[in-house]
Amino acid sequence: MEYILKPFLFSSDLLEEAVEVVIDSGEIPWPQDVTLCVPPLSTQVTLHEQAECLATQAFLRMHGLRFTLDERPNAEFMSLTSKLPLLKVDDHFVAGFDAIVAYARLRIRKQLTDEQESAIRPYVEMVQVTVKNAELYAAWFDDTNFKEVTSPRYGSPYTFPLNKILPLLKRVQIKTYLGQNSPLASLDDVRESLQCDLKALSERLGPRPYFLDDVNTNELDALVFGHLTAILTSKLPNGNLVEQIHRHQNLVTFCQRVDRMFFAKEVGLNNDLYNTTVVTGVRRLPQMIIKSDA
Amino acid sequence: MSSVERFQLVGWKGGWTLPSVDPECLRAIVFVALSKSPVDVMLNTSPWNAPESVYPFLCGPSPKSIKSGAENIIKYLKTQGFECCHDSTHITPYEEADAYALESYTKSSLAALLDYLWWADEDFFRRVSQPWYAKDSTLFGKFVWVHYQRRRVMARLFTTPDTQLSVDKMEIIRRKIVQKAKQCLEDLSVKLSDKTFIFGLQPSALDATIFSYLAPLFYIPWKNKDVRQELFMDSLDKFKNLKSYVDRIRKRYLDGTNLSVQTVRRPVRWYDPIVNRIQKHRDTLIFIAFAGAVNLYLLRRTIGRLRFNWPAFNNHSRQRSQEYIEMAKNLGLDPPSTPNL
Repeated sequence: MEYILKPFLFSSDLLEEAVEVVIDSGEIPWPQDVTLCVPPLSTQVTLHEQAECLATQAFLRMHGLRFTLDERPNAEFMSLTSKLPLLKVDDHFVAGFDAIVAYARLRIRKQLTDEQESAIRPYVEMVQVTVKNAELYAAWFDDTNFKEVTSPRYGSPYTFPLNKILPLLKRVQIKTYLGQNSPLASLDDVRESLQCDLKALSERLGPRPYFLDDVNTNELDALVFGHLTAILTSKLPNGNLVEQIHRHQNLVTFCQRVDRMFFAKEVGLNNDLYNTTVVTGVRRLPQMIIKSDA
Repeated sequence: MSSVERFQLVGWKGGWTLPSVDPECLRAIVFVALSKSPVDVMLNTSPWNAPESVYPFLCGPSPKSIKSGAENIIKYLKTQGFECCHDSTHITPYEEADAYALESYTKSSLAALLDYLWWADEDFFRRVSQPWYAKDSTLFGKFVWVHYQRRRVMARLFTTPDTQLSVDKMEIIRRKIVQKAKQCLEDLSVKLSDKTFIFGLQPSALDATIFSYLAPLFYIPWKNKDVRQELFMDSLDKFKNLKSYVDRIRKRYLDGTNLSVQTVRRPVRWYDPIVNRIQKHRDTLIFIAFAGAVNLYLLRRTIGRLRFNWPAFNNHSRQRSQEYIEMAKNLGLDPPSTPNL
């Protein structure tokens, strides 16, 4: 079946993420009308997308940046590079966690020093490469997980033939990616690599509340929170990934702490800022204009 | 030394003052040099003959222990008790975490750049890397494997988990790769500052990884001017400490006599005894198999047409001999001795 589908894979032109290079940073205000487009978080979203969406939300909330959360089933097809989540700012889009962080960085007062940044970046890269590969393998490559959780979730907004075909197409894409880019060969490998990552993160965190210092949070906190929470709340029948995280208790308490601090409903400050719009139907959007310096 | 059983590490051959050109092979070789493990390094040019068709691979004294891939080799040598000075004596858990993260960071951001420069840069591929493969390789390597490998690497550059990128966007992909690599070099430069090794005065396994991904970048004369300019490779003021770090490791550990390296001119296979015995008589076996197949085919063709009826034949000959005996009796002669049937 997958071989038959291979010629129908979506291929896209990679366009630059819309990130302006501004030398005089720190002075630009955060725009008023900002929408974060994500797939419906309770029904459709799959493991790695959920991780990225949670991480982005956490990052924006940590820095007090105002946005409207828009859950819509066609979020993936709105993004030109198919990356999620998608930040819609006035007339252009910024897609993917990296790009959104780079975009928001220019509008944040509190900047990291070069040394702090170079201390964080290896960990950010590690989470984005190895942990993400492990998630992709567990959710998409493994047959049981794919049939029981990922495929029904990913195909949930569509009717019969499409809800079988689209997950398979996505699976072909992810399988080719994993085959070329990661040495993972079985769920045991996934568990082992995840264990190594978590061990490194756990040792880096130690007993402190956040990764870099005791008060301030940064993108690494957001990213780790997103990925670990996604794995902890996922209900994959095969693989036993949740148990791997529970071995490192400080990471679990870290996730709970971030959740309490930035996602809790009781905090009056946050309540007004983030009003959630749930869009169930597929809605047309105004034409996309991408600023690129090409 | 003879009492210690020696391992054998097989990898890509080198050039430009490096023992090996492939970063993963280089990583294994540098780890061997840093940890002083009893390993003979063999350099070769035919990875399709390797156990998992991947270089590098390590085969132990007993033929069963074959490890493919630098990651597995380093892990295996560590379990055998060969570690770098810093790892064995005073590494803290904090540093260990740092080492793990930096390792994956270096690999993920510099491997793409090296792949791009070695395979995807048209000019360099035509003028340097393809002739380099052609020099010592077999016909299969020259004409088939190189292009196959190039296609694989190019496909890897164009694949993301979300979409398949279209092929004519090489320029944008290049810009992204270079940007990422530049960031990585800056971070490594900050991390190293003016120390001898990453964690101070003694080498660790992380040094092997970082060296192996930096050294090809500094030593191989890349042709792509844009990339060189964007990375500040020409001026080198920015990454002076990285350059001197690479020089230091090469001079101290790779140029000396403590590493036994031999380059195999003709591609030589590595095999275990059974495979060896089979391969020694390969021609004979192929001939026997061919001849057998031909015989079987001819037999199948002819056996339908020949109608042997053995009992009838036997009866017939017995009948004939009976007749001879009777004829002899009638003629009054002694009956002849019955022929053995």
